[in-house]
Amino acid sequence: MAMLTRVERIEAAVPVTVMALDGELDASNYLQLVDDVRQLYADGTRNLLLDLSDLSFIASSGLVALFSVVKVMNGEEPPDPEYGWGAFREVSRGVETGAVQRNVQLCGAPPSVAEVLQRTGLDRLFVSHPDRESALASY
Amino acid sequence: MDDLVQAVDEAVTNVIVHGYRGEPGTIDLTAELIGDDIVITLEDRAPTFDPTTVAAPDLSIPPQHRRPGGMGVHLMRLAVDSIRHRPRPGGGNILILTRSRVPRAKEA
Repeated sequence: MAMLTRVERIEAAVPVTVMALDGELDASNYLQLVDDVRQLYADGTRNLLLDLSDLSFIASSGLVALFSVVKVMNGEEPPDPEYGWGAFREVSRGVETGAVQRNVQLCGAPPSVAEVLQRTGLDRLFVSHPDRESALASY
Repeated sequence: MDDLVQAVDEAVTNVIVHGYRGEPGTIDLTAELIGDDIVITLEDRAPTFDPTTVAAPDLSIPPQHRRPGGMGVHLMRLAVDSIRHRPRPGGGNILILTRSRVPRAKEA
């Protein structure tokens, strides 16, 4: 029940901070992820690419973390973790109005992780790329 | 297998966060193969809570009226074939998750 993160700063067409998640994102560590991204934002990161290639598991708390990361990268406060479905209501509203954000993008999601995102509709919040190379080339 | 891990993780997290509320407590887990069904039984001593009564997500309900943990229950439902709950004699909950070991037809 652990997750490691590796952060790299890449000069694509714009500066991109790539954060690779390695392990399991669950209730034991999801708040840490939000804190880490808050620090990246404070340090100037404006384009965040989450590389999920080595993410073996994502729990519902991890989905809340992903949504919170989007809020943080938009300079907003993340929702209370207890907010639960309220977060997803905001997501669906954002999707309906065509306001798909691009500050946080995903790449390399394994099928099991992609399925969880899809089952909860969270996939619609993100631009997702098959791998890091194609993601970086898209900026 | 991924789905069973998901269901058990969500169930156990709910008990830890909303049942025991971060206080120490025990959760007994057993796994059995009955015919083609993998049957996971979770027993806790937290206040009685039946996740099967959590309504399917209804986005028209204001967020403040939704029960916390609803996302986890939603994922649990999709991950297993059935969820049964009964109060544990002497206090607590017994939650039984069943999933056929026969792979599901891939959804279109």
